[in-house]
Amino acid sequence: MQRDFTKAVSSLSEIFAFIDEHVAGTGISPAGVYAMYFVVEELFTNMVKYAAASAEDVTIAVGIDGSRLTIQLTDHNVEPFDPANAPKVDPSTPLQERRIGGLGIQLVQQMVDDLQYSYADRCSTITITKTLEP
Amino acid sequence: MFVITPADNGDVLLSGRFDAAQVDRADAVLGRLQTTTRIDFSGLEYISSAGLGCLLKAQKRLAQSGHGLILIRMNKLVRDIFRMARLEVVFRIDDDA
Repeated sequence: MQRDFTKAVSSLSEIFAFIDEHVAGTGISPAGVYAMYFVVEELFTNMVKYAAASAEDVTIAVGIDGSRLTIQLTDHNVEPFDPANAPKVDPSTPLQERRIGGLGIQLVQQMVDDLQYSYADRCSTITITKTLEP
Repeated sequence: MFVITPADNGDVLLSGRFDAAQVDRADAVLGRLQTTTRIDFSGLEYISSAGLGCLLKAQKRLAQSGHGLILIRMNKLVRDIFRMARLEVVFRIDDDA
């Protein structure tokens, strides 16, 4: 199932509700649902920040097949931007030099099994897969 | 629904979902803190990297004057995010408060 969302952070509550619709009755653990929120928010807000020039909606598709979760976000009519290439954060950096930018995507990479980026016909598509633990 | 409220005892109470849409509201409260303050997470269900960024910003500012945030009463899922992000070395997290 997929749905289009206005490219603005104010869409997040609607996006979380969309995820809730998918997980209802699936038995996905609270930790699994938390990871879904976190991953989708991070990838979506990256699109809001870095591809603001296009006002087109972002399409989010969620698929759950047994314990295998697939989430795909598609940003239409944009320049390429692969979030996995964002600068990495060194966790040993002292407080005054710590910045949060880049940390979110690193956490996403820790939470998922796989993150793939593709770009075609001016559309950026990010696909993540994750094995859901009971 | 996200709520950030200064309590009578000086703590700041968080509840609901602290996502990227809540950053301005959170900054408005955290930006006024001038001294070491406990942030009570007991009502907080979710925090994203944007929420972590707000707290980190407040912590950095307070640390310049020798103060800081003390994070208390996190649920396990939120606590796990701080662990994954290795923010335990940045904030004082009191699991027993």
